[in-house]
Amino acid sequence: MSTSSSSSKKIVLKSADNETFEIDEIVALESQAIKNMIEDECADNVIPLGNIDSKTLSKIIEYCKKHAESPKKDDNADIDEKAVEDLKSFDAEFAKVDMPLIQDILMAANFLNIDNLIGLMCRTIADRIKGKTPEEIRKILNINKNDLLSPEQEAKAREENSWAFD
Amino acid sequence: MTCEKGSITIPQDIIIHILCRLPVKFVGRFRCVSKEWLCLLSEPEFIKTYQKTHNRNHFIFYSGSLYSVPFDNHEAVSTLTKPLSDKNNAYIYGSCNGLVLAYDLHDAQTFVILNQTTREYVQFLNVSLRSNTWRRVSDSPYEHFYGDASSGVFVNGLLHWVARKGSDVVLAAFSLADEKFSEVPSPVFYNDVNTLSDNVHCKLVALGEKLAIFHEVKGVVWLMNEYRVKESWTKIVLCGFNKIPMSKFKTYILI
Repeated sequence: MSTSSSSSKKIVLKSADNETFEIDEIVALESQAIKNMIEDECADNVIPLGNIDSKTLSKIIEYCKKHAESPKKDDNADIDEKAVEDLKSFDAEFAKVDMPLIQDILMAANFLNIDNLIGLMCRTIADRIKGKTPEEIRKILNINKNDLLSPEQEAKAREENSWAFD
Repeated sequence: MTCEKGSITIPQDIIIHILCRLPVKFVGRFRCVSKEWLCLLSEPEFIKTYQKTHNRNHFIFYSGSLYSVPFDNHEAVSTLTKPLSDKNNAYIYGSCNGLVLAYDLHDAQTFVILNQTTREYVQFLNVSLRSNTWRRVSDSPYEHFYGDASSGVFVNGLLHWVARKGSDVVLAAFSLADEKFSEVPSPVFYNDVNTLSDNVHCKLVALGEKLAIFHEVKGVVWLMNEYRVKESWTKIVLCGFNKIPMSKFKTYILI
């Protein structure tokens, strides 16, 4: 599947719906969880990812590939600004997906321990909910109806946080 | 946008990372979302994580009301809640764990504690000590009536002062756990002025959870990155510090 340097080691991932993805080791290393498996020599066979479907996994691989190819910040103090901008606009485009997919990517990134991707998804959700009313938030984030404040409690919380409602 | 249609479910340990990335206004607003969020967003642990995520030091000053400026952008001056009435003058005493203690100069009874992150404040009249009695601890081997003889700066479980020991100016520390005095190494200044001796313009502050010395003319902070490690003192310059519209009567703190 991959066409890049044939000499590099390959890692094979298998999604919940039994699709396999062969990727360069360098791409797989973006995931701290897989990195640990490689270091422990547990990554020689196919790595089954029973809780990640192929749609989500291909998005994650797309992200890891781009980030693995980009120069790392600590490699060189003066990496060109163009590369930084390029990665920024990639991230912005990458995050333009619907909320259910954002959720799936976030949960998978959390499972695979990909710090930057967790950060990107959290920022994206934060950006999407920040203009919303508490009522809208309850809908978007499936807040349990049994967990709502009583009208008195809500009035009190609003009064105590009146500075935030200006 | 159509993407808002689908609702999602995120476990609490990840929700925290999302809420930490919100501007402070929405943290306040979202306390009304649910019982769980009200609890979560009020916990000291959340406030700590929030401060770490935003990781910005602020310069707080009084000039008619209380203002806050992030270190890295002197143009981003924002007004904090005006807890003290307009006609009053405030004096800022100190800060600890992101909280600022100010005092009303016209009404000597009124103190205010302000949380810079959440913009919450409490006003109280008199400091009440639990037992209401004072106990004498060991005598200080230092001369504390030095400089503006300000109140101790709390870092790492110890109170700190700039004090004199004979002809030397030192950083004196008092441990609240074992009630013992000790010294903390001060920065090596090379060709710079010895900040500690320049007591008129220098102030000992707690920056985040670290001890720091602020030079109010130069707008320079010396920060002790690792407690008691002399080599760890680092210089931070507040860009555009002179452009901050502080009143002549300088009262400020760094957090």
